[in-house]
Formats: sequence, structure tokens, C-alpha cells
Amino acid sequence: MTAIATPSPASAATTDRLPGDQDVWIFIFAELLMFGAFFVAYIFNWVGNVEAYTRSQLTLDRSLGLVNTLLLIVSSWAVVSAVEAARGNHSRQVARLLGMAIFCGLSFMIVKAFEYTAKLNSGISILSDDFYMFYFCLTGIHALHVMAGLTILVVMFLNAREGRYGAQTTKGLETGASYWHMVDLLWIFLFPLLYLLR
Amino acid sequence: MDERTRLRYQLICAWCGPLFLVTFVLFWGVIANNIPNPAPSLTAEALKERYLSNLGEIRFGFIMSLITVCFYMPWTCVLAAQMRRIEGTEMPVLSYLQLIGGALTVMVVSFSAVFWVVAAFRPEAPASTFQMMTDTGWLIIDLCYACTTLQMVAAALIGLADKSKVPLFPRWVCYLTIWCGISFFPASLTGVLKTGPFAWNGALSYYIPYFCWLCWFSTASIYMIKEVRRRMVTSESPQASGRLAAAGI
Amino acid sequence: MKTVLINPLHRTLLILVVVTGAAFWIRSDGLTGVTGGIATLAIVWLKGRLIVLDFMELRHAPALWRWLLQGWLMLTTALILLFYYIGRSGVTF
Repeated sequence: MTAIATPSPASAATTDRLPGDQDVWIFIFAELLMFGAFFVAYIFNWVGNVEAYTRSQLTLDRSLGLVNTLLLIVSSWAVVSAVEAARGNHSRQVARLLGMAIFCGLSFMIVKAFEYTAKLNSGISILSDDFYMFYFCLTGIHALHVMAGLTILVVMFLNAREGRYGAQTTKGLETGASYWHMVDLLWIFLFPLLYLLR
Repeated sequence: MDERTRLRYQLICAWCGPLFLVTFVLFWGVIANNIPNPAPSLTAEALKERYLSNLGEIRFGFIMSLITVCFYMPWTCVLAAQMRRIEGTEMPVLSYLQLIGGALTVMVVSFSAVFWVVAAFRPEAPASTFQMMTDTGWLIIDLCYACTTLQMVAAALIGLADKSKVPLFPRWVCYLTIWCGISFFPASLTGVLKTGPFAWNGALSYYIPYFCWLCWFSTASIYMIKEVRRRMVTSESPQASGRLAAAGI
Repeated sequence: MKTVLINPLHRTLLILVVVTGAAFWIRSDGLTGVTGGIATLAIVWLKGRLIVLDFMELRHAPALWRWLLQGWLMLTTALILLFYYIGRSGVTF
């Protein structure tokens, strides 16, 4: 851990530089705009139905949401640490950290699957009410993004195991990392909106 | 056919893009009363009343849009030709994919509009018939978007692989294309929902995805027309240099 | 512990975990009413900001990109806050 604890000289050189592929950032920004519209649509419909939404919200398992939030935060941290490790040419550490991120992402999906099946088994579905319509739509679309992100992470993990990421070759890694952080950022909004806000 | 004529037809085909855009919005959207479109939560009687009070406009709009939607076809063809040049001539799979994606898009859009024309065909029919036809039309157009998504993704992948000095599409256009294609996915929710932003009259399943589709379409059209124009210029200069060579200079 | 916290990434992770816990505590009746909601949204903004600046590494990126993402964050949070406030004060559309 000490190897990545000291800021590497490479990160000092990144000043005023956009990590990864600039054109992919346009994609990421467009995704954020889309989800921004989802969030605003949710809260807009929440207005005037606060009581009904809160009633349904109480049937969610809040601790599973908390676990999932922590999983994504840790995975995001692992990914950015992997980028740092690549800049310091610690290629084995890159693979290890990416593996950790993949583990967290998979766990997120497993928790999500538990949540969905528990809801469906207790007779709650997308058609139950407006809150659950939003709950299933928003978390479902987000889960699709998690799966896309996991695919990217697996590809980067395999690349890292072959030692393809070093101080001079971080661009691909940074690009994939940015996408994964976006997935995390979106959940940072979804968790409080659906589970916490009342 | 000589190069000049070929390129002239290509230019006409590329201009069918903007033509499609304008006529689609005008006939399908404005005249046929699709902005805003009928809510899936309307009762059958209210829906029938909506048809009866705008019968002429709805008939004219959709019948005209069924003709003009075919402007999408020449546009798809010129894009396929441009993609094929980038992809190489052996097995241009992505160009084919874009070509059938575009062709099927025309069919999906056409079929859904036909159901609305049918609904307006017998005003004396019971209200439930209007509802059934309207539902069928909207579910066709909103659930069969993946043809168009594949068309867009194929075009974007070719664009990203384009190594020409002046590429057909800039890279950011390609990523935006993929994103626009992905933005259709919430429309699948129209298959179960009758209210809210994910129903077929909602912002997230109707206004935003359709806007994204037309946005991609306009942007791609601009770059395709530019590409044909560039080729028109370069096709004239070798001719000029060829004449000079023939004259022995 | 001290050496671990020298790395700004570890610090960011720690803050993110702590404020997530705080938001959870607020919902478990730590803070109720509009205050709780506003505090929850403030935490959303703080977490988003840390992810954008430290995890997405935009702190030292060109100003345009930093502000595009920060602008999205502020606008989205502000809109949610606005509608949240309207909803809590009982106005209906």
C-alpha cells in the first residue's frame, strides 16, 4: 500500500489534462444529462404525492441500499487507485485493484437481484404504484449501466493482467475508469432519492 | 453512369435526410396531432372523441407521413455507401447492418402510422376499436426501436474506425450517436406503463428519445452532405490533372 | 492510520463512507422534517463533488470540463432541492 500512498510524480504531470478520451467524456456528460432528467422527473412527480411515495418508500430495505452505496464507493475508489498504480508502473497492483472493483460491482448486482426478487415475491411490481414504477425503472436502467461498466472493468482487468497499463499507457484505463465513476455518481443520487428523502 | 452523375444522385439522397426530418415533424408530428400525442391513460371514449374532432388532420397527416417517411431510405443508402468505402469491400457487415436497420426503421414507423389511419378509417366503429388500434400503433413504434439503435451503433462504430484525413463523422458525433441509440431503451417500458414519464406520452419515453433520434439524424445529415460535396470537389480535380497529362504537360 | 490518510484518495474514501452513514442516520430519525431532507441533499452534493474532483480526477482537468460536470451536479441538486421544498410546503401542481 505504501507504494501508492505517496503521490507519484506522474500524477503531478496530469495538471490541466483531461483523463482518458475526451470524446468519451462527451458521452458521459450526455448520460449524466439523461439521468438528470430521470431524477428531476422523479422529484417532480413526488411533489403532491409525498405521503403515498413515503408509504411505499418505507417498504424498501434501506440497509440493502446502504450496502450497495458503500460497495459502489469502494469500487470507485479501487478503480481510481488502479489508475494511480498504473501511473507508478505497479502493474500487478492495477490488476488486483481492478479485481476488487469487479468484486464490489458483482456484489452490487447480487444485492440488487435479492432486492428485486424479495419485492416481486411479496407481490410488489412495476405496476404497484407510481413510486415502484420509478423505483424499478430508475434502478433497472442504472443496473444496465452497472453491467456495461462491469464488462468494461473485466476487459481492463484482463488487459492489466497482461501488463498493458503503465505510466505511458493509461489512456484506455482512465477512459474506462471515468465511465465507472459515472455509474457510481448516478447511484449517489438514486440512493437518497429513492430510499432516504421524505 | 459517370462519376459526376453518381455523385449528384448521392447528393440528392443525402438531402433526403433534412427533407425527411422536416416532413416527418410536420405531417406525423404537427398535422397528425402527435405533439402532444394521445395518453395511454385516456378512456376509450375520450380517445375516440380525440379522433373524431380532428379526423381530417389525423387522416391527412398520417397518410402524408407514410409517403414522406420513405425519404429515410435514400438517406440510409447513401450512408451505407459512405460506410462501405471506410469498411472496405470484402464483407461490409456493419454497412449492411446500418442498411437493414434503416430499412426496418422505415417499416416500423410506417406500420404504426397505418394502425392510426385504420382507426380513423371507420368513425362509426366502437370506441374500444379506436383504443386497440391506437395501442397497437404506439407499441409497435415504441417497442421496435432496436432496429434503429443497431443502425446508429453500426454507423458510429464505422465512424470511430475511420482513418481518413477528413473523417466522415468526428469522433464526438460517433459517441453521441451511440448515446442517442441507448436513450431509446426506456421506451421499452411503454409496454407495461400507462401513466408517468415512462409511458408512451411521457418525457422519458417519448419526447427525449424521439428528440435524440432526430438530433442524431440532423447531425449525421450535415456531415454526410459535407462528405459528398468534398468528393465532388476531388472528383473534378483529377479530371483536370488527367487532361493536363493527356496534353503532355 | 496517519500514513494511510496521507493519500488524498484514502481521505476521499473515508469522507464518502462517513457522510453516507450520516445520510442513513438522518433517515433513521436522526433529523426529521425539511431539515433532514435538505441535509440529505447537501450530502448528495458533497459526495458528487468529491467523486467528480477526486475519483474522476477533474480537479486538475481543463476548467471547461471541471465546470461542465460541476455545473451538472449543481443544477441537478438545485432542481431536486427546489421541487423537494415545493413538495414539503404542500403545493400541488
